[in-house]
Amino acid sequence: MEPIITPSLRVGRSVISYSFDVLLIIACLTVYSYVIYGLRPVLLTLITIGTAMLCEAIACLLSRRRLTFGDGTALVTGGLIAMMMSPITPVWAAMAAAAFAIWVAKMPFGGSGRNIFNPAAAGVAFATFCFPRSVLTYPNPDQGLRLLWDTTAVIPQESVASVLKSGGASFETPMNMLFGNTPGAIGATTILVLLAGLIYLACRRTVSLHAFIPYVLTCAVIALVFPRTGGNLLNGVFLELTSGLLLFGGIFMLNDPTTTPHHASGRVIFGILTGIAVMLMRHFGRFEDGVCFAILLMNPLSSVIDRAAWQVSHFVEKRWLHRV
Amino acid sequence: MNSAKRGIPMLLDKGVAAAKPIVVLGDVKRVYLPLSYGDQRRCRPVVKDFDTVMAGSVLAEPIDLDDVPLISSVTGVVAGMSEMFHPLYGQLTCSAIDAMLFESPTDPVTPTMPEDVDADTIMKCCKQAGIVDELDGVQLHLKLADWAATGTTPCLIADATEPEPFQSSAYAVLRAHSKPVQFGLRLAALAAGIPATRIALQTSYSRGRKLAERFDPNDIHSIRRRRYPLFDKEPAEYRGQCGFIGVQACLALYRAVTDGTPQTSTVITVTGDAIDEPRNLLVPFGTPIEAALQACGVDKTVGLLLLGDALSGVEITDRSLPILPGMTCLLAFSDPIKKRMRSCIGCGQCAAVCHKGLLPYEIARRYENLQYERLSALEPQECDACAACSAVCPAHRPLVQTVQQAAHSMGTIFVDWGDE
Amino acid sequence: MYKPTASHTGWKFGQIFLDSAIRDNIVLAQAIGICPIILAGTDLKSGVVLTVCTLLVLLPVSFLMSLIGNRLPNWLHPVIYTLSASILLTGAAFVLDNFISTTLYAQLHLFIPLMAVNTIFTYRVGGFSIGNRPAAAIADALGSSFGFGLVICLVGLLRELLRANTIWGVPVPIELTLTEAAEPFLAFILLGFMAAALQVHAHRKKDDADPAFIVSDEEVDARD
Repeated sequence: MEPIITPSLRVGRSVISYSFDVLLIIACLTVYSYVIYGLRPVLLTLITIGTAMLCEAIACLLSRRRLTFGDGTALVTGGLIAMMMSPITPVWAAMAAAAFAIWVAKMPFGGSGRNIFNPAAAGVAFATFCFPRSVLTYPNPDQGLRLLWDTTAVIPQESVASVLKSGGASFETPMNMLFGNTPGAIGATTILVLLAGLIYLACRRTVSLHAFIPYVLTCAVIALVFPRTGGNLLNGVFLELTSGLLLFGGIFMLNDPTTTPHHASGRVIFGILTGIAVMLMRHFGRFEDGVCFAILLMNPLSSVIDRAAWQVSHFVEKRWLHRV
Repeated sequence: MNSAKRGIPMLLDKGVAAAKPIVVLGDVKRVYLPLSYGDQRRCRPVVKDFDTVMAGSVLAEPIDLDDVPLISSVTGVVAGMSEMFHPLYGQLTCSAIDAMLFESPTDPVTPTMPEDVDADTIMKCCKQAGIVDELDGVQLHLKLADWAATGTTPCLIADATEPEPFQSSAYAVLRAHSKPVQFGLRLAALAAGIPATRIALQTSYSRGRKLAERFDPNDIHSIRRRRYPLFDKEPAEYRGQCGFIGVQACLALYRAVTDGTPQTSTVITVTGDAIDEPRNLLVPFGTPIEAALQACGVDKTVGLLLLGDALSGVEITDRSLPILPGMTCLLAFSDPIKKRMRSCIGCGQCAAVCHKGLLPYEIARRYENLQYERLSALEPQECDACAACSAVCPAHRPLVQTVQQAAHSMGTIFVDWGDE
Repeated sequence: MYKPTASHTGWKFGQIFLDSAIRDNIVLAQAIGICPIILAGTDLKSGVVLTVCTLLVLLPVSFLMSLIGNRLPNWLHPVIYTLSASILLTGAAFVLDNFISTTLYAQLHLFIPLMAVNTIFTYRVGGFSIGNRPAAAIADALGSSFGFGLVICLVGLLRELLRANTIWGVPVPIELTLTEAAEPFLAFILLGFMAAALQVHAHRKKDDADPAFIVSDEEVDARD
């Protein structure tokens, strides 16, 4: 008869605090986008989050299970999808992306904690496939726009990522890139806020840097070896790293605990492979930025990578380090 | 990957109970002493209802001659028999004894090491006294015989580490009876043929450091690590080969050899935020838990009652259960601390804190998905149930139970399926 | 490898046909033959053509292998499948090009010979027909092709409807159009949902429901 061991001293955090941290950063990004673009991105974010919550509630009711959106992961999915949309994306496109993310990529696999694919990446991939014009056209932030519902007066601009893809030369200054003064997705242009968010999340142990740093280094190395712009090499690498969804994907989607490897050494390998996949998508893919597709490509491999990496590191620890 | 950093940070400073001296339980009215320990120690009762028993007299003779007889801890009259289910020992048949007298054991003012006793005498005294080691609930003479038989153990360690914030019974006993414990440890080492002895103490908090100053530095192995679990309880030169013994068992052995007194009581820490005056309480075996709680004053309603320390304690609801050899801590919390369990989110914290380098999330996943044939590759039998993984899990999953079940079920899968 | 659930050793022609077509549908339940559906099943006509090709090849080869397959060495089996399928498909392509429709042949020109190396043959013929009576093999071949046809025609119909707004080339008054990139993506997702629908309905007779659901409900309720 084995006694049941109940640790009553819980020193860990709860799942809700993980979601809360990410939502905090998303809120900061939304505020920043309000400053640049007006009220529309904020409304878009709120509507997308609401749609994600509603879809999860409906799916739980249909499958006769307890409502599970209390752990906040649906809110995070909705927020991330909104951050990757353009400021002039129509509302129905964002809502469709959120519905797809919850109903196709999350709930059929078992809901929160059991999904294989990152729901936010799947939702944005769906929107990119089906409505590319709605998702990939960006307004110029210098126009001093105050957007709300009517977006017909906006002249669409090319983002730096699409300029690089079509082989052109981009003349955006580094300061513009860092402060988000460039056409791009709602939450993915302000590099400084993103990096500050990364530092906060890393200090809180919500994300681990085991995946992010190899990912960025791999992308930088590939950008260095195969540059897409002529001229100054460092400037080219900097533009490559700060354009599109590369850093955003590396911070939020590469560190999603459910769909990425759980072991530290597995995360390193996953970061490197995702970096290679992202750069391949950028060079040879159809759309200007393939971060979502690269993440979706790597998600099913995460358990294999995890186990292989653990076996290797366990073997090394036992034989050579004598730590166990 | 440096496993020296693994584990969870935990404040190991003991509370009020450690600051105060040991209190002897006042009026003991009724004790429940088992007449048989189920399949582990089968015994034949020799007392009947309304018999008068003296403290130290035999209540039940063991069927297996290697076991010790079951001894009464108080002087009184047998009032009846009752069956009860104990979470640690299983189904027990207990005799209810109305206690008239309980004498707490005393030591001489200047304790001295007994001269010219040999191993056989010590073993005989140990067996007669019926000493049970509180560390693992095993009879002490069996452990000593094991060590004597193999003969390869270089060091015997009295484990007074208690690596969690509540339990302080070993600390209190060591502080109150420093010399007898040390002598008892040396007697045990003599009986088992072990050359070296140490007392393992945790000195990451100030009281521990003060206690360590009382002893000769050569006799102490002090651990300064502030993380749980403390896996370096052995000195570096003896790593992996030491034997462990409990502090109260050493004390009981000393008393058994010098006076011939049997082991009839234990020191149990009663603490928690639902207790008025947390104390280390000296109680005779068989005292109901309710009596111990009342002695320390229960002011609020108790939401969670734990037998054992905070990390490996068993939750109990029946307060009439007796305190038996092997129990050293009782925790009463007003808040039930029940958190809602969610599905695993894959954060990997459990693998990060495991000091054996296991993957609790993967073991649990394979066990729940009935992939038993793939369990052995993850080596769940290496787990020593420190419960750091369950403590740190954000989804509040019972990881340590699952890993223990996985470790026990390997090789007996067909038996498990047959039961359902 | 996925094993069909019904017992096939008896003389149950109709049961085998229905099982292969619906319950153990080769595309939805056994995940064989997905490639032609995604790549070539873009409209109803192609779907029908590919189904006919599959049937034309599967039927004779199944019958042949159920008669003599046991006596041939194992390594010879894939050679026979591929050779016989190639011969039959060459004939079918010739007939399609010259007697039925040249444009259809031009649209499908690569995928007809590709059927020769499709996993359908290895799994259905090698896994089933070889060890069974000829009549059972014929029933299974008919059922598998029918099941495959059901799926590819349904998917082809939907794709044609949404991409070109026609059914069998006849325009239909629907205004929805999808981008070219979205088509195979959505076709895959549709296949997934069809497989899930099959799991729910055709296997409902089983007493145990999906283990993932049961574990989730119990453990969510356990701690409260």
